[in-house]
This record gives sequence, structure tokens and C-alpha cells, in this order.
Amino acid sequence: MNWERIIDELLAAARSEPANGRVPYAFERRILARLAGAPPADAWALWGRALWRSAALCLAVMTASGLWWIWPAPHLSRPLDFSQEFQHAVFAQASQVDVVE
Amino acid sequence: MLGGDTARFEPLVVKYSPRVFATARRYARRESEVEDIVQEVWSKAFQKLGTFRGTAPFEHWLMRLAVRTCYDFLRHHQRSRERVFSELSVPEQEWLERVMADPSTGSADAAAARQLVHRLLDMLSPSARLVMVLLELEEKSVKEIAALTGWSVPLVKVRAFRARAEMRRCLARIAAEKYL
Repeated sequence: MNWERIIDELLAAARSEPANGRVPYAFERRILARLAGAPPADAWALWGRALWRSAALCLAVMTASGLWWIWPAPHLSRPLDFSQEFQHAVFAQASQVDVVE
Repeated sequence: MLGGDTARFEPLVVKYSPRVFATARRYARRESEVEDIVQEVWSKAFQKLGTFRGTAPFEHWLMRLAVRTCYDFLRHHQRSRERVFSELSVPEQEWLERVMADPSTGSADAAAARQLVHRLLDMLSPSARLVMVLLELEEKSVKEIAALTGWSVPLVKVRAFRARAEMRRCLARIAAEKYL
């Protein structure tokens, strides 16, 4: 089936349709009344909104990094803490000295 | 006007509303939705008037705003994109059957063809619909579409190619549901 040809026919038919720019009755008045009633854009409000958004983003990043820190990958064994590592280093040297003697 | 004087804004609303309505009707079918879009366009225009530099005609700036508002509307109203063939009206079915048998008869019953093309456009993704309307119905150049949408020229070309393929798939699916 020649779909391209059929699509071309469809689009040609759609192009032949004149654009419908009819404006509903008193639409301009409604728009202007709405604009006049709308509060003016407040720079402080915009700034505050941006701050709240960035605070939410920071909270999300903090939560994600916290979770990542709390839950280690299951295939990795928990690493030794500093005191255990220090102890191992000291006794390893001592045991080496014993072996030499 | 920049100070919020709506009376000075009125001539612009009066002059350009038909153009904005014509644009909005390309993307929304229900008249209430069209009015919502146009209202949104004018609200944005009023609020952002300070960003209009005056280096290009006001109409260009306004149409860019209108097209982007229509795109936002499409993205937020994707609910009714899926249509089934059984919903086709009798003239649409007849047009499709006739053109499938003989593609040269497509010019007959243009109203049915227009209904069918609107149905197909409803099935497209927002970006595909936007690019099809601008490129194929309004016959704008790729550069003009890039300026209106804020997309790059290569992106417009890629989206136009994909949109055409998407439309072809939708049409093939409609035909398959009917005849297979």
C-alpha cells in the first residue's frame, strides 16, 4: 500500500481548509478584564518560588546521597573502620618482627 | 503598557486575536480548549511584554509564544490520542476505502479527508503533531519552525522525518484494523 501517497492526499485536503480565525463575541473584553484583575508579577514572589524549588532539589539530593551512604552494595563486604585498620597495621609489623627473631 | 496598562494592550488583542485563534484551532478541537489556549497566550504576552525587544515584528514574537503554548497544551492533554477505526465516520471510511483502491481519487470529498487528517493528527505525539502542522499544513520552512519552537534545525528535520513515519504507522494501523 502506498501510504505516502495517501498521506499526501490527506495533507493536501487539510491545507485547502482556510484557517478559522473567528473570535468569540466579546472575547477581547474578557481577556482585558482578566488581565486587569490579575496581580502584577512580583519579583520577590518569583525569587521565593525559585528558592523553594531549589530547596526541594537539594533535599532530594541529600536524601539520595544519605540512602546511598546507609545502604552499601550487597556484594561488597563492609570495610574495616579506621581503628581496626590501625590495629592491623601495628600488629602486622609486630608479628613480622617476631618471625624474624 | 509595560506598567500594566491593559487599555493600551487592547489594540494588540483586537488585532492579533484572529491569528492566535487560528493557530490554537490547529491543535485543539474543543472550542473551550481553544479559548483556554488563547487566554493563556495573552496572559503570557502581557506578563512577558518586557522581554519583547522590538527588533522583530510583534506578530513574530506573539506567534512564537502561541506555538509554544500550544505545544505545552498538547503535552498536557495526551489522553485522547488513541482512536479506533470504529470511530471513523461513514464519509471518512468511504474516503479511505476509495483512496486505498485508487490513490488518484483523493481530491474528492475533501471534507472527509480533512476529518480523517484531524483524527490522524490527534493520534500523533505532541512533537510530531506540532511539526506536521507547521511543516505540512502551514507550509513553514525548517528554519521558521526552528525559530518558532526553539528547536535546532537538525532537530526539526529529525522530528519531521519521525512525524511522517508516525503518521504512516497510524494510518496503516487504522487500515489494518479495518481490513485484516
